Amino acid sequence: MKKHLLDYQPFTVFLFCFLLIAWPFSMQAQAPALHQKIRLKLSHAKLEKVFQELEDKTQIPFSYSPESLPKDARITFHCKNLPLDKALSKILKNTGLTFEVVGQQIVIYSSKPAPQKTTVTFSGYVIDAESGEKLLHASVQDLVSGHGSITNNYGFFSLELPADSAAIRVAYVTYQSDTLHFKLHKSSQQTIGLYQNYSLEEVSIQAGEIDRIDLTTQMSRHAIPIEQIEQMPALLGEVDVVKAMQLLPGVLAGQEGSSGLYVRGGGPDQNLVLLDGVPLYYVSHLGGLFSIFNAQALNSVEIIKGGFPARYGGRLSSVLDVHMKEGNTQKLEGAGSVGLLATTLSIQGPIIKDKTSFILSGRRTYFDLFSNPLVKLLTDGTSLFGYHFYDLNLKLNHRFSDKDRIYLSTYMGSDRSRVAFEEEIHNVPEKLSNRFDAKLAWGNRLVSGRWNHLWSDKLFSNVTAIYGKYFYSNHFTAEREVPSGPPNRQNFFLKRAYDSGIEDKGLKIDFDFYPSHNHKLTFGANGLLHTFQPGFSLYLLQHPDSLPEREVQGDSAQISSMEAYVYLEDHWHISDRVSLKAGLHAATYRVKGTSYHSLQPRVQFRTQVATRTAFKAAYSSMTQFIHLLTHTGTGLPSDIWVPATDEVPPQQSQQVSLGLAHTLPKGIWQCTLEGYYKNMTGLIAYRRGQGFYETLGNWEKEIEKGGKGAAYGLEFFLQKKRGKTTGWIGYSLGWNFREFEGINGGKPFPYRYDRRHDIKVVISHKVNSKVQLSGSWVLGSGNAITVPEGRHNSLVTDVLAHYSPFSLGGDIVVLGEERNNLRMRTYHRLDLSATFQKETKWGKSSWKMGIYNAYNRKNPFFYFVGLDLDAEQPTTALKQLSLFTLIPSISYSFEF
Amino acid sequence: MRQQPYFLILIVCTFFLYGCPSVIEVPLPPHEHKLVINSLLHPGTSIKIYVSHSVGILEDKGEKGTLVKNAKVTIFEDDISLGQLTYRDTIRWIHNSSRSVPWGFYHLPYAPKAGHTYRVEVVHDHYPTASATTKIPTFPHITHHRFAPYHLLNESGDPLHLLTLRVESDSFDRQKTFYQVTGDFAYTTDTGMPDDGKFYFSSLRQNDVFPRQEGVFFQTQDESLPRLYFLGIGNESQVPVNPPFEKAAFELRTCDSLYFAYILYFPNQQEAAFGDFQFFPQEIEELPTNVQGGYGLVTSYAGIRDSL
Repeated sequence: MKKHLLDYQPFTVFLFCFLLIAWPFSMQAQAPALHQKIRLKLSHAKLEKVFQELEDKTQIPFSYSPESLPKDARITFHCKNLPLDKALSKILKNTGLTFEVVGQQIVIYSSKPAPQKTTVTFSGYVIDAESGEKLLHASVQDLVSGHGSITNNYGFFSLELPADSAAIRVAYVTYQSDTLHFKLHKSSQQTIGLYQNYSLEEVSIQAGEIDRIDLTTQMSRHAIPIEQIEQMPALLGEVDVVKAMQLLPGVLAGQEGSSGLYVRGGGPDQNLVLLDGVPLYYVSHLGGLFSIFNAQALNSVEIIKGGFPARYGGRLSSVLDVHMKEGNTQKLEGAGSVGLLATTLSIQGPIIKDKTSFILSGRRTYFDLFSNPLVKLLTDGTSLFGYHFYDLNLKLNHRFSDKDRIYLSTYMGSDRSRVAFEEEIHNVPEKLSNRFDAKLAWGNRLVSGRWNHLWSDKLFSNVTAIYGKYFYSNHFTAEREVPSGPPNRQNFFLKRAYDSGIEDKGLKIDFDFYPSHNHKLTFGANGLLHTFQPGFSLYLLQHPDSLPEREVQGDSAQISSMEAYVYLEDHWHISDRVSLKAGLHAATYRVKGTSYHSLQPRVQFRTQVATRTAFKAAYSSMTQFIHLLTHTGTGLPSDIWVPATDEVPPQQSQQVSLGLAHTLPKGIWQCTLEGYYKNMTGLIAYRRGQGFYETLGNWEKEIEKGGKGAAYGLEFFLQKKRGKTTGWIGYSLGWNFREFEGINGGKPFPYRYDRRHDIKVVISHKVNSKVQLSGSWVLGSGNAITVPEGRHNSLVTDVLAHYSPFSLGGDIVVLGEERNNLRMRTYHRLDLSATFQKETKWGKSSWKMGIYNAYNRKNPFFYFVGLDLDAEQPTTALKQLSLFTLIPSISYSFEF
Repeated sequence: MRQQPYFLILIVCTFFLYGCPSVIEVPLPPHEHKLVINSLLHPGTSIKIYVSHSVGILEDKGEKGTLVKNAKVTIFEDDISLGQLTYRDTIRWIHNSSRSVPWGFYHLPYAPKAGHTYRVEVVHDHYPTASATTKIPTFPHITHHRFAPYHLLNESGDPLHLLTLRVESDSFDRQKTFYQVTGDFAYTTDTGMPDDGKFYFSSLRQNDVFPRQEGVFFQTQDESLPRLYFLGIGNESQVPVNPPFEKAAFELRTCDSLYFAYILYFPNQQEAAFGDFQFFPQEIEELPTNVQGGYGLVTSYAGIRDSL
């Protein structure tokens, strides 16, 4: 009987594990905080000290405005095993104060009947006080009213508060939190600057209390500060934000060294990668070893694995939202680094102070700078061999007024290789010369212009004009000159070219509307025109005495499609304990006269189940109108992006996530436990042995369509966000299957990156102001691969007589019934790095030394069948190939 | 024209990061030995059926190989038995080790005919019975051919010769008709060794989907005029550059889709299963088989020869 995806035992195991782990967690979480008994001995103590002591004893944060406390009040109080609420009532008696539990904190306020309060709006931006850089997703909370907000993607926030005393606490990871106390009589706008916490000491406890994961509705989201990513160990010392994301639970790298992202069972094409709001397609250099993102040019990066906000659409599995820096508005500054692979240089500063700023950042590798001269030298100047990649980011922003800002972001990056040679052949009776030139390149171009406008204190809008292009080109030319010789030798010029790519032009508008303190509405619309060139092949042969022969394939395969969507989402704080994010993403797509429409509901729910512990649930429906035709599943530049068409419907997914989020006392530690189930439909794949060249111009009919996928699992994440030592431990347990009618006999099979267990540990420790140590350790179950079970003579061996008993070539292998029937060995690796910083007269400098694969583990890259030539008699054996054994690296960075 | 070769540069770049292959021991799925039948039938030659057995992936075939000598092999033409085939011992010369190994096949002195269906049945006491069926295609009909030696150079700088053929449409469905061109090319040499002046070429193409193997095929605007570029002289030191062309003999074959797929995908499977360095590892794909109860391929072609 045919097995279906849900018939698999692991699904039951998954549910069982989830309940087993979640149950004691939730039981623990239900302890009533105010009933806990305390022991206290106070003598003539100030109220601030009383609250601090209670905070320490109960681990419950106290919120109050110091101005509201009676200055001369002194408390003398003794108690033993008294419930907290009763003790507080006694302490506050005769002080004119009272208390109330708001959310997970105790708020102290004046007990005098307040006059009828009106509400006002407090809005503004949160910025880095030194550079003026916007801080995205910073927490802003009024400690008096308990109302809070998070800055949006442009650093903007808006809070509706009672017209009274306010105590606004602002917090952002790696920054010193700040609390502003003032009286609000009317709506006002303010830009709040935070200073970076260079000491990283555990002083930002209060910040941790408002930047709590159990208080946010969003689940399955991770943001790692760029500063932390820069300290992490990296392959060849090249800082890579995508590789940092791979160290999170539920995110896999795929193959060793790859900068691909496989999120919760998804493929490399199912990630919406946005750079300043513009979608990117292939985001890797050097065949996937490094991502295109230059960390020096970035402000923030976050990944969302599930519970997708309604504003995102077009991909099934994740959103990687990357924002470039805007440029220092205060002073000119620069930074750079020199590593084994590449050199990076950034410069940023004001053009008009406080109004206009820029950042220009570039990165380039230098392999070709050595290889080209060397090859020239070795071949007497007749040959060239070079490869390099580069990235160039430029961003300008200008503030017209407090209400209007514009941004212009550009990115261009490319990988380029060239092999060329020329030869002269002197051969009696003729002389001829040949010239060959082969060039391979791929890359991205991106331009986006954005206009932020503040319509009122409560309505923020952003309009973005988008242009993006991904290209892949493979060109070859050959030229022959024959000054003399027989008539059948001719001069000729031959050009063969293959190009593919995708071009996007679009316009989108996003609104953030804060109608009241417990609602935040986001809505907007987007229109995107895609032009796909799945494959264009040119053959041109030019003889001097004849008309040129020209042959073109795939030119008619260019496909234009229009994708548009509107969305609306309300983030509703129903009460201090319950919040809901509900939205709808409605998309339409038109190609070749066929239209697809899709309604994609998105819901997220949070309820506080105990002090510091929230239960969260999310449902996301996603539709993806593009596909990736890939041979290896690893995501190569030569893989072809193709649109959904009338014959190839779009991919769709539905994901359900359930989880618990817990913030430990003082907010320094956070942990989450999430379970998810995702199903995918409309997947495509090449048929057996096919490549795009075999299907050029006819790919829609020649591929496997209607594939299904299912992924489910459990993720645990424990993170220390503040202090001298930061880092996390992540664990994921997962199952991941695919099902195609024409593959594996139509039965489901494990996906190549079906990884049962995956553990990741990342630690950074600041020894002192000059030395920082970092390390990461990963351990994962082996990838699933297909290993043949038998072999036999082939037709080639028997009939065509190519045979050798001492080699395996020529045999046919017999595959078992199941695809991906073997697990490779467990993968584990330790990376270490140490950064030594020094203050100089002109700025800062640092040396970073690292070791990739520190204990030289030979991890499996792939398996193949070969001969064991070390044995007494050569025997057939299964062999493993490993890449990236112990690799030291060193790089030098500077800032001025 | 596959893409992977163009990533050679990347492979070179990462070569120094590469760990040597090591033997590993992991439990593999068990394998049941089955009969393997291989045969390529074509009109004009007697019937040869190669019968062997499969082995586990890590099982050694040994010097004796896997030939099955005492099987009962019967062939049917359009469901009428042509009789039982007899086993013949032979040897095979192994070029790379310069010696011969025992070999053998089942033989019937009967020439199969184009357009007929043949079924092979193999019975053996130790293995499940296996059988396979093939229909020999009809002959192609060449209405025009032209040969242009040293037409151009390929990407490696080797000269390519152009063979242009015009083939009359036959009774086969165009989507299912596959052609293979095979032959010899001779040139003048002064080495005195007869084989130095010859080389063998082989190709495959289908009417509508033209595979670009090895970079020597190009699809033409005119669908009825297939063109074949094939490699010329290598760079052997004793051979002059572009020596005078003497003669080319070729055979154009019509073959069935199984044979086409088998030859086309065979190198892919070899690379995926036995390739010891793959920067981008490929899925191992099963090759087509038409043998019921066993493995292998019994296929056929009908070819016509000509010379230039």
